[in-house]
Amino acid sequence: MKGGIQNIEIRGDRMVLNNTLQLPKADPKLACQLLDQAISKHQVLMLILGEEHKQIVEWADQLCNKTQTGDTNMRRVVWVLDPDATQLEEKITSILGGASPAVAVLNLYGNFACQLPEDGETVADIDPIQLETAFLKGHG
Amino acid sequence: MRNLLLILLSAVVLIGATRANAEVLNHINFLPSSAPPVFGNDQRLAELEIDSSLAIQWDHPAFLADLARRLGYSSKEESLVPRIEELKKQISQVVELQRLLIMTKKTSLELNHARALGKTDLKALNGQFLAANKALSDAGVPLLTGLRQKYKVSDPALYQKLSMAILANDYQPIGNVLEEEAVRLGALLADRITVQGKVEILITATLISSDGSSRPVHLDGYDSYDVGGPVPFNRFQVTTDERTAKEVAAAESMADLVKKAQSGALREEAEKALKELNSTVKDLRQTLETDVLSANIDQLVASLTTAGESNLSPLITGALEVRQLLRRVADSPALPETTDANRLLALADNIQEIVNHLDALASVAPSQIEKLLADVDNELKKRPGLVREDLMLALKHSLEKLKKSTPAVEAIRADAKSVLASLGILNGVEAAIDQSLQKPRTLLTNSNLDTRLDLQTIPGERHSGDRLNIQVTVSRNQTVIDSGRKSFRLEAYGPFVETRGALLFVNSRDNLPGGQDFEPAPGLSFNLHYGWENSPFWNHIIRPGVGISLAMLDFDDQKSLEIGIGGNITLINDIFWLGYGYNLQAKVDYFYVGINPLVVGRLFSQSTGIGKGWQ
Repeated sequence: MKGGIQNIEIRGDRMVLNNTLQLPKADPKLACQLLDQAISKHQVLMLILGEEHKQIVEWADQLCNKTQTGDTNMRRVVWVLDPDATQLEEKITSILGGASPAVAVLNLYGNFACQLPEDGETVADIDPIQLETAFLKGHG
Repeated sequence: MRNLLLILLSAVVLIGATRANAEVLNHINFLPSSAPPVFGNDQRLAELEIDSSLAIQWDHPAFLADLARRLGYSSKEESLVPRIEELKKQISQVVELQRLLIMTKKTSLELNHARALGKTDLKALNGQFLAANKALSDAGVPLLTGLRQKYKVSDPALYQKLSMAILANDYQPIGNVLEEEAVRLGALLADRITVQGKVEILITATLISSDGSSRPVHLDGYDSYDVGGPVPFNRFQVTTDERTAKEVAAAESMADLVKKAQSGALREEAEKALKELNSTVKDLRQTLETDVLSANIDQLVASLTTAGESNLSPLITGALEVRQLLRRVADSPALPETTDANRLLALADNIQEIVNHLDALASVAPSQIEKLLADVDNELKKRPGLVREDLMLALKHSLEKLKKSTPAVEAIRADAKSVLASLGILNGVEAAIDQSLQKPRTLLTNSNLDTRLDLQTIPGERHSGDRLNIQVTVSRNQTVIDSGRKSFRLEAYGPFVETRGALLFVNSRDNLPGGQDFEPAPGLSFNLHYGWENSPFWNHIIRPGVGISLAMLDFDDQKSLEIGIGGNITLINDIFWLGYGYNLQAKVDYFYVGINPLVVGRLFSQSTGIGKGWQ
């Protein structure tokens, strides 16, 4: 199950994601379990909240390749397709302290590191440089 | 002693001048093929493996930025300078970030490997892993934030490129984008700099041998010196090479020369050579009829000035320029005809000055006179009678003479070199006389100033301890605006055998008829040395050697041929020898001390101005 979820290929959009955990929409309980598992693995996690952020997910997935070493990776993307699902929303709120950004980064200890978009900017302003900066904040 | 002090003082002044003006070297990377240059205890002198090649690569954008700032260009150029400098700073930060990324991945691998092996005490590895992550974050966040703030709005096209580059598997593409931008701005700056005056860059390389001689070394694109086939350093040289032959010859003639110097005969020979050179220079002046030409030019200037028309002033200026060339030749210093030590020290400068002036007369004056005559001809069509016809004919005659003067000037060059060689002093002058083979590069948009040299293709011998000097000169409109010199010492690492010649002072252990105490004799030795990396004190100060020597002896008046064979140690760069041997014909033991005649001779000639045949 884990492998099938990690390696996502959306053929219609030609989207191949090797470093992304896509949380299932249909099963919020399972989604919560998978998120807990991801947080416990001491990786820098980038949570992307919302099905509409495909481009951001694709960029973030590519940025994870920088820290690939053998079979392991220091970074991972978690794509929350339905962040408003009741159980997931509670979970995310507890992690992010009430904020509901498009992107949030958790550091190696699972603690909140930063979020995007930054103050005064919109989701449309998010770009690969900013995403890499966010990942790097998670390493610190 | 006074002369020695003068030499030392001059050296201090020269070194000081070189250091003060060597900023150009900050923009050049010297990259040997084998390993990075090793800096010994003397930080100014880098070691260079004797078989390696050396790439000389310019940091072009930084050099241009520095050049523009120092030349005091206008605000247009000044706005490019900080941009280029900022890009260079960002590039170096990206390089550091790339290094930190690799370190982070390395610590991650080590941690995972330890976990896979079931190790339980991972505290140290985990600490290293976290520290590496923090260092990566600390370096990357400000850099990327800065790039976004700087370029997202001000240069969207560049920012778009950076955004695509960051998606790669490491940070190198980001550095490449910044480098491309620095090169683009550098080209723009080069365009603007060269509009205001031709900037030329000359790099020359000279190999200074341990026997004091120097040779120019070919640098691709900067000169037309010959190169040889690649010849690796001969680690076990048991045949005599040129240096050894020189040393043996010097040892043979040293005793005679000392006697000559004591009797005054050497002084007479030196003075005769100087008189001959003076006479040759005088003959050339007469052949070129510089006095006649000078008088004709004066008449031309007088005719043009008398006409009093403003449109003739360029013609007058042109004529005066030719007059100036002639005057320089006429005013060249007379060479001293005595071997007074102080005058001999200035001899090289004087000869170089004369050769330079003659050279300018032969190469520049014909085209200037040709142009002058064509211009005067044009004016004559408008104003017949402006200049007398016989004057024009005389000038044309002189022009033809000058056009044919190149071989005569070449002959003077050869004579000058030969006189200097016969006096045995001042090797650097040869290089100055040969400078016409050097080709400065003009700074152009995107011009590549990089070059390289391969030590194995330098024609002739090279030895451990030889010095390679790289001289960089930047000039604008033929005025030097910066120069600097980088020196390398050639090093042979590991064991190697050299043949060396020496003047041995041999003392027989038995009293033979006609034998003398410490009799001078030429000797030849095969010395084993060992070179260590980064050990200049060992390699070039102590430089111990162990060897087998052969000596031509004369212990016994009854024997016509006496050959000695012995063992010796050498110290202080093979200057001092100490050994013990056996005379094969006289059948007696001997011990000896020895000196390197070239080094001792050079020291003597520098302090006295006399040294014929010793170098």
